[in-house]
Amino acid sequence: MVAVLQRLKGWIQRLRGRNSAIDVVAVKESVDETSSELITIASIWIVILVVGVPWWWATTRVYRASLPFDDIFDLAEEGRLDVSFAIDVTLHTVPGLARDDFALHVSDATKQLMDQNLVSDIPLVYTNGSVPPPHTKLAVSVHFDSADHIGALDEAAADPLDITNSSLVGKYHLYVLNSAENSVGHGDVTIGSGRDIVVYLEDPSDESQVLRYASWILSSIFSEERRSLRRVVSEEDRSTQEHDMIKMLPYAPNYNVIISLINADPNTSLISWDIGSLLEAHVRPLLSSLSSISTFSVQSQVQYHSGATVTPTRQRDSADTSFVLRPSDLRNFINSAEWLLSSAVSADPPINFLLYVPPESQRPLRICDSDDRVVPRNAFLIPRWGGVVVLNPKLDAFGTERTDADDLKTHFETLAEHLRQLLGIQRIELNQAMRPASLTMRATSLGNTDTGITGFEFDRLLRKRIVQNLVNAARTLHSLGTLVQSMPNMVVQDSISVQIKDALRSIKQTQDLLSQTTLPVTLSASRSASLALTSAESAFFDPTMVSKLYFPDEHRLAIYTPFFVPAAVSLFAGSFKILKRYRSRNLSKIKME
Amino acid sequence: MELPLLLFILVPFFLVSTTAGSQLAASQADRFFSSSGHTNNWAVLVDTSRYWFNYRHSANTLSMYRTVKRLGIPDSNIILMLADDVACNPRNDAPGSVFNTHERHRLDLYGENIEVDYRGYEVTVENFIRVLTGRHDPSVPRSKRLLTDDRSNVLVYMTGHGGDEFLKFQDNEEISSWDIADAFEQMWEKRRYHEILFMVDTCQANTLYERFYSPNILSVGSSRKGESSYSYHIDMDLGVHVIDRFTFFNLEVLERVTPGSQYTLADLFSTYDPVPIASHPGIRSELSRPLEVALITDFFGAVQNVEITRDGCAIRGNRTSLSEAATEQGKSEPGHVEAAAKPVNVNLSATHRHPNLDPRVRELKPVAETELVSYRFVGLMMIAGVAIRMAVNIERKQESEARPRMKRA
Repeated sequence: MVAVLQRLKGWIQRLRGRNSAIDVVAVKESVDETSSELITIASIWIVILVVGVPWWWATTRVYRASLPFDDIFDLAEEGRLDVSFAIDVTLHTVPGLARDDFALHVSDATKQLMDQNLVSDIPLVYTNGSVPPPHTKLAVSVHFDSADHIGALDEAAADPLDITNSSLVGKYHLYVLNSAENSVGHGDVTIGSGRDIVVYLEDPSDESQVLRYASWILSSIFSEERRSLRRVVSEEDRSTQEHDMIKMLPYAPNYNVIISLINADPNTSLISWDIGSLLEAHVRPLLSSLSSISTFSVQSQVQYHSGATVTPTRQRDSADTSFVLRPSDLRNFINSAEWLLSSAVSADPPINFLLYVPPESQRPLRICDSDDRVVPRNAFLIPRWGGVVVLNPKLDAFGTERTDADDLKTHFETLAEHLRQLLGIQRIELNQAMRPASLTMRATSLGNTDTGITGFEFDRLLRKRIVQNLVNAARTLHSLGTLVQSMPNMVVQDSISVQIKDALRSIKQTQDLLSQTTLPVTLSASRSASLALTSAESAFFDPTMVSKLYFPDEHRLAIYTPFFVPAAVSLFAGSFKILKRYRSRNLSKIKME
Repeated sequence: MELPLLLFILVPFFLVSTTAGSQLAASQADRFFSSSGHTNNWAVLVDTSRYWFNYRHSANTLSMYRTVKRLGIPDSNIILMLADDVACNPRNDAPGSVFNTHERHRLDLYGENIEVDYRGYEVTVENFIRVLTGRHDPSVPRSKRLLTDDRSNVLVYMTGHGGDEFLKFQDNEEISSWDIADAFEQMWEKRRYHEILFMVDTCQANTLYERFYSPNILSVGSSRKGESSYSYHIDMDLGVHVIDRFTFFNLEVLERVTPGSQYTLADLFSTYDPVPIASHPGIRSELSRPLEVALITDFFGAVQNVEITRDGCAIRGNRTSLSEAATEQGKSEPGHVEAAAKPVNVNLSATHRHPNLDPRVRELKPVAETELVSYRFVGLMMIAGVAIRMAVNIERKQESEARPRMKRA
């Protein structure tokens, strides 16, 4: 430091001396001067090149954490996401049939029928270059139980139906019973509330009968399921009118259920609803049994003095005057300007349920279908939004209009059904249209009155959500990879890389869990698939992932010019001048010599 | 022992069996879904200009806000961005109000029921891109986010000062057509929309949509490249123009649209006349479905899909299974219902049952005849008092008017 200062002092003295004294030494001194100027310029250049340029490079560099691009783009490979679910069916027949080779027969026949159905399946459509929809396989294996069959049915029926028990997922029971003994018709099929199906045959020991019925029933149920799995993953559903897919809410780990009582005219009617116990009785069991897939928080509110936006049509029958809402009216029913239905408290997607009490001047208000017939439930569903029930209070003994508990009970049953449809729970039906004429059959699907969801339905929903989450996670990762590669200006933080790796790991874990032969892993597979989706989404929607997208080179030039041009001009001009002088000095030196 | 029990279980199965098939067949006729396949509608309405003299851009945006709200899009599905608060500008001689006609007090666009999501300095290119791409800080509330899915139709309306392939934000930054195109592509990649209607009213607006390359986007602009978009009315009291021509003529048509109407976008676009608009509006529809089948209410309103319900799901509350479930799911205990209901700023929580607790509801009591006389007396006295007060006021006013005149003289 001191040396530098002394050097500077020396320069200044010399500069001063140059003006005052002109003598013989001048030439020699000016040689010195030129070389020192050269040193100055050179040192400035060295500082610029050694310190400045790397500094500028380092500070303006776009930070990009290394991402596992290979793994991400591997997801788009055909067959990379294929999953197979093990379906384990226990057949209960008369002891005479309980042979392993017969079980194998049933198993093979089922597979054959399912392969036949595959031909007429929904085509899988997807955008080129994105993640192709995976093929999902339901591997059905049939075997016999060593225990006596009727005893086992009793046990299954007497058990408290804990459908969410992870050890029961994917394990089904098919009972073949005698129709005459049970005084029912030949070919009656009952799909139970747990994971069991009963089929009644005239002769349950007839091998070929049992084979045909059992294999058709199993193939029908699981073909339908595979079809719904294909609908979930096929990209085609964005343009088609696949109603079940339109209705089903996108997956979220938590939902916010908002139940609102809208009383348009509280002066004439008092609605008392014991919402706590109604929820407890009619909705909570369903929500609790779904808790391994999503959790729900429930809110309720009462709003007064604002009616629906549509005016119902007055209809005069012989008996009484009523008001009707036709389907076209229902489409604009929600008064979104006055009903405060969105909650700012929760960040979870809402599911709205409305109990609407019309003003007295519009009562009784009925909902009609397109054929102008009154719908007894007086309710309708709005896909991906919620459900609406119109409630007409009755006059009580004191002349006040009230609703009784029975009315509300019916309405909450409707509400539970709405909830089932919005969450994508499909009623298990046998596709009678596909049934060969040689099989006489009458099928009943029994709901579960304890929890509102049967074991079959729960498993189907679980598998649907696993496949959906897996594909969505892969698609999200894939679009993120494409995005990062196509935008070189985008900063990619380390946290993004961590989340992507987490997501990839969860995808792998899900597949590993599903490929295991032991059954009770489906629930943990569902958990890791949902984790994969959450990590992939949080990486994709990370707030740091927004850069100024379009930043062309002329913009860059416009930013750097005012900074660097003034400095660069004097620097270049100075270097030029000195080099020139140095060269002429050298020339003159040569001449003098 | 087995047989009676079996019968007991299976007989109810048969009682239910008869109805199931017919219900399945009937349900097909109960669905009334939109032909476009969307289930929800969203609107992003952006005014990008600051300063009082850009009053008309705020008014444009607010007019669109009123229109989509009238046609049924709820506030929770509208992202309203206003770059300046003209309603509360000191130069606004109708404070707290914004009008779009020179006939004052016809329709206050600002009013009492308005939810501005991004205001003033919050309206930036970055925030606009964040809204479209969904990349927000975790603390950003739901109401400020565009929470669309693959079944959402989105109306994006922008107005401000623009040029060839850019739109100016806040007088200090600009968004280019590439930025918007890329943001839409990111939305498409992440399945964040079903269809987009992009409408923009600015100078050289048609250049803004030229770069779009994602499917299902329909674009409308107010003026060609090299053309300006002009304003329409001027309000002499405010001293500023109150609306732009393109938006004005759109609103003329949209005012006639009702929530259930069957007008298509082709009907709307056929009304565009370059002479009164004073520029050539452009339409780009090759990325989307034909205009003749796209209803105006597919984008400007929220006509919902409905399905009539015939079925219920009966749940017999089973005590034992419930208690098991409760331990399993501690998160949503029954007590949670009431606790969660409290923070909702809507009138009442679950415990609040009687309507008379609502401040807006008054109980009507019969009034006795004697009371009525005294009420009448009080009323008369009050009217008399007011009359005296007014008389005194008029007198004073005359005096005070007389005084300055004398001073000036």
